[in-house]
Amino acid sequence: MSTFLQLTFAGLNVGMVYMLIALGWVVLYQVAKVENLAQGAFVVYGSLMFTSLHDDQGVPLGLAILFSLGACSVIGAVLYVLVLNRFSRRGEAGPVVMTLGAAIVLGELARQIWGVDDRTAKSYLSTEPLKIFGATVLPHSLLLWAGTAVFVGAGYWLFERTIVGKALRACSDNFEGAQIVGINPGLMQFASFQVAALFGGAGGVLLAPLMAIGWSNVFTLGLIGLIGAIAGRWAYVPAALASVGLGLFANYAGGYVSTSWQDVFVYGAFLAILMFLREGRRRGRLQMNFGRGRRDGGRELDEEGTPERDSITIHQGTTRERM
Amino acid sequence: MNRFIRSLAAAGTIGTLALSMAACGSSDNGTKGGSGGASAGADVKIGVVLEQTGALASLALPELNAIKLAVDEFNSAGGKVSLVTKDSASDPATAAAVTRSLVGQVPAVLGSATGASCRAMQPILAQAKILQYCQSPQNFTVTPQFFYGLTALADYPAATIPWLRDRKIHTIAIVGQDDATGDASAGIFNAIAKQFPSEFKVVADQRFASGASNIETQVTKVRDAKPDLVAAVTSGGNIVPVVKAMNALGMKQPLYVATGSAGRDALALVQNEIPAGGMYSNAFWVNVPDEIPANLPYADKVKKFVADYSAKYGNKPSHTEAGAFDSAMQVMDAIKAGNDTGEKIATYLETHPYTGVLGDYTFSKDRHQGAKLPPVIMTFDSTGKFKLAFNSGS
Repeated sequence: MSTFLQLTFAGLNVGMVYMLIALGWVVLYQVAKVENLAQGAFVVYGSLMFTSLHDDQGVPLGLAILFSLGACSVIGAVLYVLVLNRFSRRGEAGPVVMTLGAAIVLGELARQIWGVDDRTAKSYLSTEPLKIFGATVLPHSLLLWAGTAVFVGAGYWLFERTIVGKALRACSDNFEGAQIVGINPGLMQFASFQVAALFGGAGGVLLAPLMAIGWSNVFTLGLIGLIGAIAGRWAYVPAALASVGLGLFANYAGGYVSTSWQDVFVYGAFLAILMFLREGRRRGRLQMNFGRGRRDGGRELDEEGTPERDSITIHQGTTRERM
Repeated sequence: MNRFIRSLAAAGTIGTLALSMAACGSSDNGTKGGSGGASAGADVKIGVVLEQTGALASLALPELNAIKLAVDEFNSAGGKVSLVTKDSASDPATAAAVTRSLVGQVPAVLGSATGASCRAMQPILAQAKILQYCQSPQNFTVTPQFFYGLTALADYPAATIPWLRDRKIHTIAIVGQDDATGDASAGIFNAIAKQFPSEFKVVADQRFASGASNIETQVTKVRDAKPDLVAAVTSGGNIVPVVKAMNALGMKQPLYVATGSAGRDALALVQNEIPAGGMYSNAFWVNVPDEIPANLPYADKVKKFVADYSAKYGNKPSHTEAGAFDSAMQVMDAIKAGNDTGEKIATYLETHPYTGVLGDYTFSKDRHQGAKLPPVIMTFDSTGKFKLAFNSGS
């Protein structure tokens, strides 16, 4: 029992961060149609900025968190300009190549600023683990879980209950239609980059006292988030659940089968997910619900049960058919 | 016009990627008179292949500093040597690739810091008859021009068993890297358990990929085995996730740190979170210079090296830096004596005993491993200092 609980706690620790990264992928893809390979950079910069400010510079906790999230916000804004300018957006591969380049540059920049070694923040809560049915959990882990839940809940509230959220979803549903009713799609795309940056940055800040993070984590963290997003079929709640499931699965597989094969299990599961979902396609809009869309002959059905036609999306002068 | 803009955008993207890849990849520093480097217009070049980037850089960069210090001291005494440094990026394949670029340029190569990369470099240098002075303490198949100075791990059990007995440690759990470096360090405890099966037992052996951030799953299994001692068979910063996980799981056992992570730079990463049971490692006297016995024959060399290194780099060196310093000095001594090829330098080393910071080196045709490990155990605490924890005196 204690081993099961311990593996569950370890799985939740990583699963919660995977969740925040995956949701960044989901929001960015659904609103801006960008697969952001630099998503892991938000976590890395959030974590390293927080460690530098709080531990090295003695900046008070609240300010250190704010500045770290602010730095991620700036990176999000820079990425927005880099990825969605009219040069890089020409052609299908342009934006993703730009995010790939940005990930490499951001990783290298982190190495130059913070050095080659992974860094971890000093604990600002008690370092004495709490005992729960023979298993132990650090207060920082509880903060990570709670903080992630708050951020994910806030995201859900944003998309469901606010005008900005509805505008984001409108852009996700139909870019041209949203433009016609007066929504500024460019602004919404910018907002989606900011949401993704804040999700990643929050993950980094919450993770900083728990795990050593460094420049080399930019790609790996981003990749794990991508797996969660794909497993959740690019829908908000399913991607969140899939990411936590991925963290738990990796730890149960490592704990009960073999730690040597842990990565094989994770990436093997990814392959299985891809095979299982191969007939489906990404949901074309920001789905918040738990269920899968009804299908008819491989095509999604809309709410009235009629097949959804492939829509034409206008991207500021360029025409792109959504597949 | 559109085609021009597309070409411009493509060229910009490719340029950005190329610059980034170049920055991430191997860096050919060609150190000539850089900070601590060799003098300009030098006559003889020595190759250096070390893990200047990647997970093992915290181990190798101080070694590079020590080599530069040796070159500076040698040149200031009238020598003329310069370094050609290559970055293995903590990757054996990269180590082999950059080593190939040194063939024909240098008579000797210092490096790398880890066994896996040393092995990857060995056949290339052996074929070219270039002397290789490896900085790893692993056990190697010795070839005519292959030398290594740090005590072979095969000699560690004898220096470790007295401490285990003193601490009444009988069960040991191993956790570390899933690579040749981890295997070699784990071999210390496997050898001890094999030699004294009724007294010592390895109750768990869990591994993780170098660079992993979270290994709570592995350490959960270690904790469940209820060992008296946890042995971290890691290199460089890979000690961090072990310490993190032990603290998260509330483990109170002492933590033995393998030599690859027992450098000051690597341990500084966990200085604020020393496990409740303390951190221990085998030691050379250079690790605890303030506690050197008065009758140690090479005490002056140790103290001078510690003082010079501290003055130049602002922190105290450990045995890995001392080993790198000694290896550079031995090779340069051989060059100074007129030996300008790998074969000649090897013969010189085999026939000329040397006393360095780590003690006496006595090579022969059959023995290419140098310094011996004293039966000393040190501890590392939250002040960032090594302290003498155990000295069997035998």
